[in-house]
Amino acid sequence: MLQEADLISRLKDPKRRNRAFEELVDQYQERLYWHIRKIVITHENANDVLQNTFLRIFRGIRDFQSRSSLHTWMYRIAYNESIRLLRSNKFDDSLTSADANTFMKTLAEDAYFDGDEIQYKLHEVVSQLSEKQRRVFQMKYFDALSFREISEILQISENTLKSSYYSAVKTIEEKMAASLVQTN
Amino acid sequence: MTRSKSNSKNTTGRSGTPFLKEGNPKGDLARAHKEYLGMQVPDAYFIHSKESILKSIPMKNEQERRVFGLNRFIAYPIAASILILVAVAFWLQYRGAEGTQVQQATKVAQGWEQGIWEGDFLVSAMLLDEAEMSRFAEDYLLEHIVLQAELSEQQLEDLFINTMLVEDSLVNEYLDEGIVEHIVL
Repeated sequence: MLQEADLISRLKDPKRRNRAFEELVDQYQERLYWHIRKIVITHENANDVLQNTFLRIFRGIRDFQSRSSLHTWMYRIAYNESIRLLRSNKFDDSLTSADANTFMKTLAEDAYFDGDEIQYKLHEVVSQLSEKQRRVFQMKYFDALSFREISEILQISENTLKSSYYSAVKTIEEKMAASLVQTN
Repeated sequence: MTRSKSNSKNTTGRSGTPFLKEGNPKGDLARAHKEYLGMQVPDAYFIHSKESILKSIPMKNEQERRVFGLNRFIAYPIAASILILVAVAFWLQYRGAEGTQVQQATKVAQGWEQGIWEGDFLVSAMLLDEAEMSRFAEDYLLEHIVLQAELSEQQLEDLFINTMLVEDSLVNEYLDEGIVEHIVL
């Protein structure tokens, strides 16, 4: 917490800003990248969104009020940028089944996806979840964010998130198990 | 779409990790995403990405813009000094011009008297545009000749009328006096 406060104060100090920003990129670029990648799916898109995210962070840091942690503030920016890209690519936040098919096709065509059948199936099952369930599952399970942090990012109450997460996990397990039985 | 990979018939990923496990996949994010989601990144991506992010951010511009913003104690005196210098320069120029204007007018008048400027005047007249010259001539004619002629005519008329009136009154007076002297007396 002290480290974050120090980083914020350095980011707001014009003399020390550049060096602090480099540190920020070092610390967070990989985490933000994976957070974005799961939403926009392809590496190319994730790369673009990551650049825009850091640009927005750089521009917005002077006005950052510390109402939330720096960490969640950046995740929120990354999340919003990812959603903006999806919308510009004509994907709705809540994917319809037709959208989910296009989404899976995009994933299969991505040069930087080399998942096996199970991994592909997992993506498919996740893409069929409701928007809320999908986001909370990805953030909790893969980004290892706490429910409080996810609540700050998505602006949804923690209790709703918990229930969405557990039902998402249950749905995924059921669908994956059914799929494996079929394969066998 | 059929995707035939080596471990398609079990519940584990490539490294033998189940597709979902209790708790979160702690530790290396890249490894977790690769193992559970099959997502890859190009080699040394995060090094290049950092460079690219830092390049795209207007850090240099911010620094340049800051120079005056930061050093107000230097910037304000410099700005004030420049203003003072400009004001002094203007004042000196105006003061000098005021003194020399009178001197210049005197010189020109003396020059005309001595015929020094005659040559210059003729040379500049040759270089003047014909239309401009005729416009000048018309203006000059109107101002100096026509107006003066009008004024002179007016004066002559006034004189004539005055004379007539004086003569008339003198004749009347003479006649009145004659009548009184010769007829009445």
